[in-house]
Amino acid sequence: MPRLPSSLLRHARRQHPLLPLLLRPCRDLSSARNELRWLREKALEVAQTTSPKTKWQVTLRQSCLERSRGMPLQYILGTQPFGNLEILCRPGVLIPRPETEAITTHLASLLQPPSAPTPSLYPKRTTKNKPLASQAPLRILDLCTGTGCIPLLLHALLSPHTPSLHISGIDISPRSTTLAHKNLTHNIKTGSLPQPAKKQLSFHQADIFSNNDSAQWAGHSTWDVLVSNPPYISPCAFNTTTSRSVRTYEPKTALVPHVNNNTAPPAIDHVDADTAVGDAFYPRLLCIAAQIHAKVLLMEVADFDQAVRVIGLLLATRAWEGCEIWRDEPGARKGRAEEEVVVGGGGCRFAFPSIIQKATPAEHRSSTLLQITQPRIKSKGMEANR
Amino acid sequence: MFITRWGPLRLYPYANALRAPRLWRYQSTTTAPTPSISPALLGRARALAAEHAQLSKQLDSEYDIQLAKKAGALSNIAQALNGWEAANNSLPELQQIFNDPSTDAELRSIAADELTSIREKLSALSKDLQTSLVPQHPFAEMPCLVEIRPGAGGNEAALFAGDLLRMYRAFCKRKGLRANLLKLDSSASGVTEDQIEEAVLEIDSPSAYDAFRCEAGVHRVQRVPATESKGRTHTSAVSVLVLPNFPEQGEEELGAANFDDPSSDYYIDPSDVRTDVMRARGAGGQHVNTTDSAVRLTHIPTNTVVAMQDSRSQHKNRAQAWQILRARLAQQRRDAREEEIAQLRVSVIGVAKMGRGDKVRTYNWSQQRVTDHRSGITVHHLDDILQGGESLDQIMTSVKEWLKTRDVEGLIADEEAAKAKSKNEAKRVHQRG
Ligand SMILES: C[S@@+](CC[C@H](N)C(=O)[O-])C[C@H]1O[C@@H](n2cnc3c(N)ncnc32)[C@H](O)[C@@H]1O
Repeated sequence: MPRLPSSLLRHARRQHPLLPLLLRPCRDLSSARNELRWLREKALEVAQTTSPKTKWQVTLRQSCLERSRGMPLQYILGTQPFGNLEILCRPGVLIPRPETEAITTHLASLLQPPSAPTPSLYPKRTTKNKPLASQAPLRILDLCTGTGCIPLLLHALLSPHTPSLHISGIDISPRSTTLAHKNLTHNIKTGSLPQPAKKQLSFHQADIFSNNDSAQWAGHSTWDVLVSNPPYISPCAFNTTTSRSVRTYEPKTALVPHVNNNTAPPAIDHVDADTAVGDAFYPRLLCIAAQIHAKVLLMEVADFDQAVRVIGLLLATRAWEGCEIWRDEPGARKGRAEEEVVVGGGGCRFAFPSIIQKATPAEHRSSTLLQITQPRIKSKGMEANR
Repeated sequence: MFITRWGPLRLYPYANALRAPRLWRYQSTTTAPTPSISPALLGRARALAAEHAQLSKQLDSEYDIQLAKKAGALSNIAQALNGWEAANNSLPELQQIFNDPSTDAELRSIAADELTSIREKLSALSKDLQTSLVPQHPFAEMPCLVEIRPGAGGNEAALFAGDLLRMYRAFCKRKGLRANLLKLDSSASGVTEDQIEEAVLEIDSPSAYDAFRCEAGVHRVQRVPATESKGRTHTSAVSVLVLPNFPEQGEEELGAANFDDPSSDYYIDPSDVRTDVMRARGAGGQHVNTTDSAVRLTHIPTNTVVAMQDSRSQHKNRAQAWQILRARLAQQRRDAREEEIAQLRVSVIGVAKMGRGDKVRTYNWSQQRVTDHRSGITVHHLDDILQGGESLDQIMTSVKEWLKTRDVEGLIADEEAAKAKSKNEAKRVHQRG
């Protein structure tokens, strides 16, 4: 990491003595100022609720020090907003990412009945895509659920229009399922989720690789929708591409597939061993999707190359009718020309975004794969420094 | 009794007032000009009152909610016209009594008093009548956003912007208006409200727009900054924008706020708006745990940009950015329309519109006074004003009066322009024929 210019540090110091500490993890002044404000609000809140009273200035200084060492803000504050929800975050469980928030929201908008207004995400738009569900019961399975953020947000967005809803989250880590339960209770308490969420949502501890025989998840063998944001980082990329804060403070099992006899990826041409480890969860997810007769499958991937490799796997199954690759912020870039992706030496062409329009799974057992990709090179983002 | 001698006066509605004892005096007021109302406006008022009468008759035989609404909107005008006409009609009669040489002295004196008092009343009544004719501002009943931004003057301006923000918050608190700080960019540490770069205050009570409309414009401060060693007075400026606020719920009730209907004035085509989210370069997703939640919206056709980063929730930043964008675009469209109307008026009577760049008020520290340049009022309780106290009400009321007068002038100009136009057309027809 390049050193921060000392002029910037001095400038920050003049504004607030604690700002230079926050510049280290934030890298720019405006994010550092935002974090300082949020940490201060939290410190004031803590000072009011704890006894014996600690001085909020002491708490604030303490958290700024932790933050400067790279501790994620979400672990210090204990929460991360996710859609309209507040997700509790604890060390040992991966912090939900904004990309996941975006695809979850987009998926919900596609699953809604036609008459339903778009969830309160601006702008209200008329959904041109045919909805995949109606008043019919809808069952959604989330594998590798972490904090439970995906099932919880899907419930918040879908339940107003889908009376019969059942969503389950599975994770190998007991810490994760415990936290997911806490999140369920927490969001019901704050009123962000309706009371019935308690019965319609469930979280279970299981290893998605060691459940071969029963093919039952949360006690059911068929599901309409399968979602997953699995570990997708290769061991090599973990050491080179992930940020220090992620590497030091977030659980590695959530990021890099743990390979053993069960999970060892099949050897594929042109794919080196390291990359294959990063992709290890996808064949298994495709296999489970088939077992549970999922009509829609949404998987998060790291980047465009991984997306293309996963499409290669998908083609081999011959089970799916269409496929989309979503960029960051799907739905936010309407009107962009479709682009073609060539997979497997030109054998098959995929146009994205819109094959999903053809899929009306309520009528025939068709299948659609939806995926998100983050092609960093192509995404137009704000400049980090304003 | 002597009342019998004044038989004819009983017809007139203020007869009761005549029974009160009066001082004996002759006055020259009898020859003063009667407060008058432009014939153009009077004509218009009569036409609208006739329409109201017609509607009321229709409603008597059959109730219809649409008709009732229409009649309700006109009833103010009908009432104001009634009052004005009753007073106005009594004038000739009194004048006659006064002028009649056979009138005895006591009666003449009473008639003189009456004439004076009715003329006074008439001026209030004609004002009522005129203001009843001014169409309500389309945003009048809406809640509003107040945007405060420092202009020229560096730190001083940023500090004064903070003063104004506190002033409006205190004002809302005293008046029981729900105020909520939607956005705060502060130039200092990001943790204080003393020096601000930009603040947006949401005032969530109905008709807040009408209450705050008079605050839009450039507010100027004259004072010696704390950092000024030579004791020189500096002048800095802060601009205040007042925008209509369209709450997310209940849009249907607000006719103007129909966003989803492409034919509505306030429709925003989502594809005209580019959304940018803050993303660091390089890998995203699981590779990083960013805390950037900033959202920036750009309305491409007008190049209106709203950036929000106050909340940790991107969802909330996005929603609030849309709220502000909608408010700004609605106000821009309204401004464009008013500008058009103002252009027409300038050509008729030369009433110039105050633009948003015009200086509206000066806050002077050394003299402890505030002067509003529109109404011309000066109030000396600077502290009370900055605490949102009753002295601020006093200023705001005076500006509202000024706005009303200006609206009436505009109305007269419109009527005259219309008349001139029809005359010209008649002439042209005549010439051709
Ligand atoms: C990238 S995290 C995703 C968490 C969450 N879905 C999100 O989007 O924030 C991957 C999760 O998969 C879980 N996991 C790893 N191996 C697993 C396995 N074999 N079976 C089930 N879950 C597993 C980890 O505990 C971790 O919570």
